[in-house]
Amino acid sequence: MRLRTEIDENGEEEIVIRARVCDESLMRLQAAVARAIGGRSELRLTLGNNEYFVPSTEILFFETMEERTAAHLPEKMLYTDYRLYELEKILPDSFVRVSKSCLVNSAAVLSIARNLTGASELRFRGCGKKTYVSRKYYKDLIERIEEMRLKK
Amino acid sequence: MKKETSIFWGVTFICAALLLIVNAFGIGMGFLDVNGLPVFRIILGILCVAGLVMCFVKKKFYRIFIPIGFLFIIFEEELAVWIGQPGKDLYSFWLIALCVLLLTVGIMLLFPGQRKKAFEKSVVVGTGDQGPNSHSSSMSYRTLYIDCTDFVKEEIENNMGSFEVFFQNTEAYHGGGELNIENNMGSVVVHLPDTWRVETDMETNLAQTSVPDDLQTVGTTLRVTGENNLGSVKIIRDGK
Repeated sequence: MRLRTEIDENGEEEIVIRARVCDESLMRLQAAVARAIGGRSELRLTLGNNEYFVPSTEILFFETMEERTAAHLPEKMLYTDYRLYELEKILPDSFVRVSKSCLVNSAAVLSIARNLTGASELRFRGCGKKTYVSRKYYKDLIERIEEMRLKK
Repeated sequence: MKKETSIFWGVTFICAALLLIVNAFGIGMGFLDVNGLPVFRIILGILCVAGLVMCFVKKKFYRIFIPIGFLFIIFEEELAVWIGQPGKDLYSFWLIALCVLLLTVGIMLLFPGQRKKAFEKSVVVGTGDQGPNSHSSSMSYRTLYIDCTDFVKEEIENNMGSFEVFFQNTEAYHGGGELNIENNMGSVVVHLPDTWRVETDMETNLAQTSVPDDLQTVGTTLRVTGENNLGSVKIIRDGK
């Protein structure tokens, strides 16, 4: 793999990774770059025949359906071909697993209604969407939210 | 209640009533009341067998223990004779009821997927041509986001839990969609977009079903059907 840097004072700053296949090493590279640029990576999402390039910061959470993974934005629901475990590797650290079928952007969480006996309800900023965090993943979510708060 | 089920139960109840009336007039029923079983117990037995058959037909196998338990109670005397212990109470009513409850709940918890398989549908959205999608939840919290891009019919089943339904990509919806809800002792909340109107055709049994009170008469229509048993189904405007 070659590494090439082009300096263009008038151009838009972007990082493009060209690869023949999307494998484990590529996903690790994507994750490392995403962390380095502070989580401003964009993800290619689809809806029907349309493609959208959405910054990861605008995504509230990912949810698995039987054959696809849905990406929830405040006003839309789009789809990605990645599985949750693949998204965990390429997305910034702000994304944390809250159940077997859901990956949440902890930076977008507005509130958590704690339920000691079952799943706790998560609400997101700027919209009425909600999802649930299971007891097993609750502690990890809280720790990640605290880390994100301290980094700001 | 679906039409076939209504017809089946309607005929069953009418036959049962006729048998009771005939028996009350003292008209001989052949083997039923001469050296045979009392008519009332025969009728109850038939109803339990009918319920058991319906459980298999609807593939709700976790419910089979209820009619089996009632059959055991109704024909306990005959069973005792059959196993060589005449005149003896095999088990108390409460023990049988407890066993039925534990078995039913146990099967529901161990095999939640069995109810999903009973519908034999996938939950993939965007494939409306393949028929309705089904989603179920038991004794838990669940939210469902329905993609309106290819929304034709979605089925949800909620047993003793909390289920919320939201509609996404609503600009792609032009009407004609149906949301079928089967709610048993739980709470279902449907968040209806502000520009939609709703038509309901739900059977409500000792339950509460509420719809928005704004009486909107224009806009794309959502049809809500199904059953609400001993629970609450609320259809509210999004954001409220």
